[in-house]
Amino acid sequence: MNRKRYIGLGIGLVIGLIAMIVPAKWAEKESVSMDNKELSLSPQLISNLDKVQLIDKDKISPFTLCDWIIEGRRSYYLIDIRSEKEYQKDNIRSAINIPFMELAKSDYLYGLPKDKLIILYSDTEQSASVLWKVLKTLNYKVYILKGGYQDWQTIVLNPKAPAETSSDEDFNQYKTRASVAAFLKGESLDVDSTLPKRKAKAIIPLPIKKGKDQGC
Amino acid sequence: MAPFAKTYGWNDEIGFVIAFVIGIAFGFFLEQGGFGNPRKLAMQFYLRDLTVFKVMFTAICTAMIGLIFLQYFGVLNFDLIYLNPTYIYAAIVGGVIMGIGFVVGGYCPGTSLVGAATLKTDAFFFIGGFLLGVFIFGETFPLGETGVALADGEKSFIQDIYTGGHLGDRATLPEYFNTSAGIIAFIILVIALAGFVGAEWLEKRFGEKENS
Repeated sequence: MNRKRYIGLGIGLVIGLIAMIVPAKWAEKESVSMDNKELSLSPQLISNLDKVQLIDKDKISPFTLCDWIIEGRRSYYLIDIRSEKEYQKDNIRSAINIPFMELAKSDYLYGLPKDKLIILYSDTEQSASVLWKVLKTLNYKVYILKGGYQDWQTIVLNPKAPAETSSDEDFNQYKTRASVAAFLKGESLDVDSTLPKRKAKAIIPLPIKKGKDQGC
Repeated sequence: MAPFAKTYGWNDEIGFVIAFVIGIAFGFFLEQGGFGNPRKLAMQFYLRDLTVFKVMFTAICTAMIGLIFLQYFGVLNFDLIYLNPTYIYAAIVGGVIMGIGFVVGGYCPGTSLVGAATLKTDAFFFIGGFLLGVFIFGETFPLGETGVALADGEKSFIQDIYTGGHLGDRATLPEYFNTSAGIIAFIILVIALAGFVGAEWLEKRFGEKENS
């Protein structure tokens, strides 16, 4: 090997060593770190935090929440734990804003309604799932919004129009979803204008057998 | 902060334009690197020319180190980058099929398009072949072994493989080995550097044989 190769190898190794020392944040599972001691929880409750595990059952799908909002249900309490700025920009109808850190450290923790379902949402599921653990430990009936606000935006607020050749069912489903999205966004919308023109299914005539089989 | 598309809420159309530009650049440099030549590509399986191995491993290392530093300097939010969910069985089976296709056809799907750009006949046949494969897979995937559509809850053998070995939607090596991303990056870098030295040695040994 010539000298250039050795220099290349050396530089590669040095970069690798620096990368090893640099704290890479994605090794932490949650993007929001929270020191348990900062929580106004008793030591026993803090030790219980790791015993609760978030599973799929504890997540409310965007469509379910959407139905509840349209039905005007009042049995749940929807909390947006993103920053006030993000909440002001856009939020889910009926949600109140208690930013993550405020909710985590304050009297809110003990003052939430115990008789209602509490649904938390953040941008993704990550911060919501941290607070979910805390509230679950405090025996609240708590859920998180599946996929967070990002999924809400892509699935509920901006449903994808079906392809030209999709079935009637897909078209009807899209119509419903697009009207719901318009309702949630407070817009008036002519759903049909957003639909692609349907291609009529070709009717294939049955082949008429000729010859021997005819007349049987 | 990157990824710009998500941080600034760019729509799909902008994404398509950016993808188009990056795609052209990617294809151009692959072609210039000799990746449109199936003989050169296939040579790696005979250990005579390991350019593909070196280029790909370099790209992996560059991207990996880039992610770590950009994240550290607050330029990039890794949590917003889309990762493919990991289905380990499907990945192994897919890898084997692709490897066989690569050694037989002399292309991988990406380089076959590069080859087609310079009007190589075999590249067009390769593209036709993989599109046909995609079509057949897509059409038969919902069916059971007997060729009849499956009822809800039933799974065919292929579907079992397809969805088996799910390691998570955002499975990463640091998480899997429960260590920091930096340590994994360092280990991969050392493997890569050792690989490069080994590759050069192999090229010298087997490459010369071909010439003599």
